[in-house]
Amino acid sequence: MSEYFANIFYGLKSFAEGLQLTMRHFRNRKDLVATLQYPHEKWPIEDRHIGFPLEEYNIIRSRLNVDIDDCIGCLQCERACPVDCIKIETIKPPKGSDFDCGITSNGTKMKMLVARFSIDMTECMFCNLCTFPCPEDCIYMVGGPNSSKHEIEYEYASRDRESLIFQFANPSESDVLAVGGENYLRAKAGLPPLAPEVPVKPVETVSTATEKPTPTAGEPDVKVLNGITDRMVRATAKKAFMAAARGGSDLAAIAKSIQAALEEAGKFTDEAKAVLDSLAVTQTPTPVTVNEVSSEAKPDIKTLNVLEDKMVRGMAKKIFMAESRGGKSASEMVDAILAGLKEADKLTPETEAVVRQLAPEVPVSTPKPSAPVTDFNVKVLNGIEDRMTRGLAKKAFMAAQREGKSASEIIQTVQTALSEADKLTDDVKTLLLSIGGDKA
Amino acid sequence: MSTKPHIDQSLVKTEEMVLNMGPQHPSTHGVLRLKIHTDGEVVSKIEPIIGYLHRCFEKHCEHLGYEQIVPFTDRCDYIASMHMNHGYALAMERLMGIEVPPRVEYIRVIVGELQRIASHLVALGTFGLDIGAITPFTWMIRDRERILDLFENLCGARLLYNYIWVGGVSHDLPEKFIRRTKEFIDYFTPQMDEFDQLLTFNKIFIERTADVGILPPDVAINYGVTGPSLRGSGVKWDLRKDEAYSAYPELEFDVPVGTGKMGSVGDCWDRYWVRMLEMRESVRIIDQALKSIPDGDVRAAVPKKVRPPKGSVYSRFETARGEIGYYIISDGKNIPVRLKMRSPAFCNLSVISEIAEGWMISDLIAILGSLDIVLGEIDR
Repeated sequence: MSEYFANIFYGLKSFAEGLQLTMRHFRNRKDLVATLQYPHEKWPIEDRHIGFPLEEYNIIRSRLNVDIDDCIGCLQCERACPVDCIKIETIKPPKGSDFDCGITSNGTKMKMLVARFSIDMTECMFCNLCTFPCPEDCIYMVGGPNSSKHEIEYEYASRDRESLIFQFANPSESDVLAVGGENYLRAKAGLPPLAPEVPVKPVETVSTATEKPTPTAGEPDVKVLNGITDRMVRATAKKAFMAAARGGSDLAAIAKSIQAALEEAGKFTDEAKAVLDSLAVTQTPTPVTVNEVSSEAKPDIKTLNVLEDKMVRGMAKKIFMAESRGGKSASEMVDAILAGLKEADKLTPETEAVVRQLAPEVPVSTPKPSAPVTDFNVKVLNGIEDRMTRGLAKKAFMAAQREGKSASEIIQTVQTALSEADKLTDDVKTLLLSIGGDKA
Repeated sequence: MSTKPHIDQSLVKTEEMVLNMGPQHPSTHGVLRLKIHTDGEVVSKIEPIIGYLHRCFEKHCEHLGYEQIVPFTDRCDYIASMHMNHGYALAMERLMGIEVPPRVEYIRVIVGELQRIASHLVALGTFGLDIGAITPFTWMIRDRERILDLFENLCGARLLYNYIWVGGVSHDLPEKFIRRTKEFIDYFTPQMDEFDQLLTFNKIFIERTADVGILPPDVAINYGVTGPSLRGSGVKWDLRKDEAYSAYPELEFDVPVGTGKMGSVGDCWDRYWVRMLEMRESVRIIDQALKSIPDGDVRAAVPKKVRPPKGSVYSRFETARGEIGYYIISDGKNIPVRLKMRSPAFCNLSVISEIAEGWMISDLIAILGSLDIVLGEIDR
C-alpha cells in the first residue's frame, strides 16, 4: 500500500520538477535565447566570430570585387574561370586616336577601354582561380587581407538574380564612342553592326570640332579616287589625299594638293581631273544637306488634330505618314496633303490653313540653318578667359539660339548682353568678331 | 480461454515486401536510394540505386584546363576535399614528372591529416547519430569546426578548398598556423578520450555494432573495398605506408587494423574503432610534421598553362574513405583527353548487398553508417 502511494508521490514530484525547469527557462527566455530571427535580427558584424582576426587570413572567399580603374582588360581572369562567370568586353581605340585610357595604380598604361566587366556571383563557385593571374591585382576577394581595399561582405543574398550580377565597368557613352565603340553600343541596343565599309569616325560627335573649322561634316573619302583607272596615277592621288586629309585640310585643299602631286609626277590626266572635280563637287554640298535635315523643324502630325472633320483628319494624317516615311520635307508634305484633299473634294479654306501650319516654319528656317551648324555652338565661347564673362556670354548665346536667331544675330545679342553688364573687353570683342566674321 | 487460433499455414500467403530507403533519408548520408527486399523485418536483398547526384565530372573534365579541374575534384568528396585535391595533384605531378618542394609535401601532409580527422569526425558522428547517439555528433561537429577554421585561415574556404594545386599549394601557411594547429592537437587529444568514454565503449553502442555486418577480408578484397572499411576487416593495407608518397616515408605512424576486440573481425564496431585509432595516428603524424616542416617555396616551377606530355598515368591516393585513383590520358594539349576517377566510396558501397543480407533493417542503418559513404564521390 505504502509503495503505491510512494509511486504516486514520485510521479507527481518528477512532473513538478520538470515543470519547474521549464518555467525557469521560460522566465529567463531573454537570456537563454539562442535563435536569432534572421534577417530581422543579426549579430553585429564586429562581434561575429569566424575564427581568427581578419587580417591573419591568407584570403577569405567572400565576394569578388574588381577595382575597374586598375583593370587593363587582359582577360586572364576570364580565361582562368572554370565556370565562365566573368565576362569582359574591351574596345581598343582606333589607330591614331588620342583617347587616354588611363594608368593603373601600378603604373601600367592601359591600352583599351573595358566596356563591360560583369561577374555573375550566382554562377561563381568561389574557387579563387581568377585572382591569381591578375597582373594588376585588381580582382580580389573582399575582406581578410584585402580589407583595406574593400571591407568584408558576406551578406549579399538577394531575391532577384540581377542584383547578383555585378557590373564593375560602367564607361560613359561618350567614352565608348571616343574609342570607336559605335558597334558595341549598337549591339547592346540590339541593332545590327554598321557595315565595315563605312567606318563611323567618332571625331564628329566628340572631338568638339571647335579647333578646326574644317568642313568635317562631309568626311573626305579616299574611295572617290577609285574612279581613276590608271594604277600609278591612282596610287599617287591616294597618297596625296591621305597626306592632305591627315593634315586636316578641307576637300578643296585636298583636291588642290592631289592636283599638285599629280602634276609634279606628270600624271595629271584628263580622267584624273574629272575625278578630282567630282570629288570637289560631290563632297562639298554634303554639309549643306546634312544641315538641312538636322536643323529643319520636324513637321508634327499632331498639328492636324485641330481638323474637326474626322474624315478629313484621317485622310490628312494618312498622307502625312506616307510622305514622312518617304522622307519628304515639310513643304512637299503640305503640297501632297493639300492635293490629296483637293482630289477628295474636302479642301476647305480652314483645312488648308491648318495644313499649311505644318510647313510655315520650314521656309523660314531652311534658309538659316546657320545657328545649329555643327561647329557653331556655344563651345566657341570657351575661348573667353574670364569666368563671369564667359558665363554671361554663354547664357545670352543659348537664349538667342533658342529663339532661332542666325549666327550673326546671336553674336549681336551676346555683344549687347556683355556691354550691358560692362564686361565687353577688347579680347572678347575680337573673339566674337572672329566667330561672327566666318559665319555672317 | 485458451483456444488455439485455427490458422491453416498452407493458406497463409507470405510475400516479400520492397521498401525504398531514400533518396531523401537521414541515414543515407546523401541522395542514395536503397531498394530493400524485406522478409518481415529481415533484409533479404538489397539494391543500392545511385546516380541522383551525377554531375558528369569525368566528361566535364575533358573540357577544362588541367588547373581548372582542381575545384571540381573538391566537389566529388566534399567531406574530404583536400584529399581529392591532393590525389589529383599527385597524378598530374607523376604525369608531368614534377618534383615538388619539400615544404609543399609537409604542408600537404599536415592539411591532409587534419582533413582526415575532420572527415572521420563526420563519419563517426553521423554513425552514432544513425544509431541514436546524438550528443557525440554535436561534439564531433564542434571539434571539426576548429579544423575548418584552420582551413579557412589557410585558404579562405571551409569546405571546398581548391588548395592543393598541380606542383604546389595555393598559399603558404599563415603566420600563426603552426601554433594554432599545435593548439588544436593539444585540445583534441583529450577530446578523443571523451569520445571513447561517451560512445566507443558505451554498452548500447557496442550491442548495436559488435558482431553486426561482418565483412570478411576476402569479400572486402574481392569487392575492392579500401580504406578504413578494409582495415576494419584486419587487412593491413594503407597506401600511405605501402606506396608511400609525399612526406609520409619520413614520418612514423602505425596502420591500425580491426582485431575483433568487441565481437568478430570486420564488424561495424571494428570499422568504427579503426577510424578512431586513425585519428590518433593522424594527430601523431601532424605532430611530427609540424616539428620537422622545412622552409622553402610552396610552388614548384610549373608553367602557367599546364601542358603535360603525351601519355597516361594512373595514380592512387589514400583518402579518408579509401583509395582514390585518377587515370589521366593526355595528348599534349592543355585539356585532358580522358580523366577517370576511381571512387573509393563507390566500391565500399557495393559491398553492402553482400554483408547486409540477413540483418534487420535497423542493423542495415548501422552497416551503412559504418561504411562511411559520400554520395558526391559515388555519383560524381
